[in-house]
Amino acid sequence: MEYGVSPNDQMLKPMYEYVGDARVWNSWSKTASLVRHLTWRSLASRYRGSALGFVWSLVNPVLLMVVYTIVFQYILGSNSKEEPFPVYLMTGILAWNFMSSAAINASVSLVSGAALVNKSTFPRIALPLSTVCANAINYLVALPLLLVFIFAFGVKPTPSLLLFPFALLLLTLMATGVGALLSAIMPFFLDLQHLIEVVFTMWFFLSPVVYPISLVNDHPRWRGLYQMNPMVGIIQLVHSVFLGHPVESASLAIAIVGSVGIFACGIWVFNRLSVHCTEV
Amino acid sequence: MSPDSGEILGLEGVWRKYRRWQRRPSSLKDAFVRLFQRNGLVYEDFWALKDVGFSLKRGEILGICGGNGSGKSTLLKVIANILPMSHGRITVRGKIATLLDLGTGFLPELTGRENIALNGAIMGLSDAEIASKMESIIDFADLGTFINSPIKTYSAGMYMRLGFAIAVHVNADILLIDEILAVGDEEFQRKCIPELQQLQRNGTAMVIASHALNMLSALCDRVIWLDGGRVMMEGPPNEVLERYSPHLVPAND
Repeated sequence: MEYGVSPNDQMLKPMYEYVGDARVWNSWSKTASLVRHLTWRSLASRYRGSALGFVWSLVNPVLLMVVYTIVFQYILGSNSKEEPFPVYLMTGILAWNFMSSAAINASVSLVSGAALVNKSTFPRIALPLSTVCANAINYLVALPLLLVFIFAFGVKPTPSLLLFPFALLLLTLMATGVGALLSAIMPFFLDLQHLIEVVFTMWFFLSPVVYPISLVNDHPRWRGLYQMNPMVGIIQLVHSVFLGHPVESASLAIAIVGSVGIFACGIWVFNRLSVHCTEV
Repeated sequence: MSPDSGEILGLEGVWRKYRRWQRRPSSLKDAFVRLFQRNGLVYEDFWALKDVGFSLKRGEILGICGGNGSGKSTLLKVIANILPMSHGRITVRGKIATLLDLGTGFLPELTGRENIALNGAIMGLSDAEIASKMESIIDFADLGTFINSPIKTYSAGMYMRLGFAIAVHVNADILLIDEILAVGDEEFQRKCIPELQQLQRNGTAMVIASHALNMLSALCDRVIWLDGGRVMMEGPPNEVLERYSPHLVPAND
């Protein structure tokens, strides 16, 4: 051991003090402006250089819809009572894809932004936040096409369409919470990425995206447990917004408490851990 | 704004510890397996900064010299609050901007103009500030019509000019510069030095870490020699560099 390298009384407690107006990041509006710039950056990098950029982001949900329609409607014989099954599928898949790709992309935001994080001082939360915003914009851009699609299948819009901002809020809180939480842990355990994909696939099948919720209602023993997943209520809310389905109040309550709780937890963990992400 | 003699940055007893694992668990699987192994989680502490302290006045340029691994970059990152310190006290009385790397956060698909806006936002400028500085940044970078082309079409020199142009326009009180000046060609360096001196006259203080001793002696008011994370000597550039240069070891040694 070298001289003076064990903590002793003379060592000061770490204290970083700004005097006067020395703080560069002194307001929320500056962070918001950075988030806006980073959001635009990730959208531009995705869409520029390929005219079909936006079309590509629709190919995935459309293909999923076709496959799930064939498998669930024609092979397994499940169906939704009120509307054509492809409409039900498309509505849920777009919402799920927003939440999951926002959370998964956000989870690697600190790792892939390492060059930025290691060389400049800025609020690191802007990285996962901007990823979620970029995915939210993708989702919003796809919505008019979803409405056309729904209408083409003869489903009439209902006043519950006005509840869409509320559904979007819950999806965003969930994506941000999960994304911030995972992104703060990711720099320390890079193999978490592989685990995340598996967990999200499981989560996908535990939410009523590719099958009607009535399928679960037939199994009262599992129903209570199934409902503890906050995404059940959120996806139900999305179905209710676009297709006028009723929402169960219990599922909705769990969705609200769950997404707000996960959001708060994710931000808290991010604030604790992201300080250390440059150390590994 | 006239330069006054007040302290703008103060470091007191700053220590920075790195935890050096014998085999660092870099994955969940690894960490889990190691929990059950004897000596699985053995590490030793390595101090990259030991009891570093100095004070910087408004408009003063402080140079930092020292070999590879002496703690120069760690010190700049700790001052910028990019890396947390383990012990110590840092008092900041002015806005800090960093120039630790040229073109940090540049996106190849975006044009020069768009990258200026993005980089300004990363450095903490508001949209109004970015807009008001845009033209003078473009003038300084002197890229001609390339400013409206995606920067993936830029040469390395143009890239560097744009990064430097942004950093000198952020109106920071303290500018932290790491080794970037040694990278550019001679013409670029000739342009940088007067620009930094102009900033200094306007009251900007700087901390410059560099291997280029001639540049340190040309620019700095004071130089700190770091070795093994400890301040070996602090004083006027010529005195410190004279004592330091015998310690320079040829790279192939």
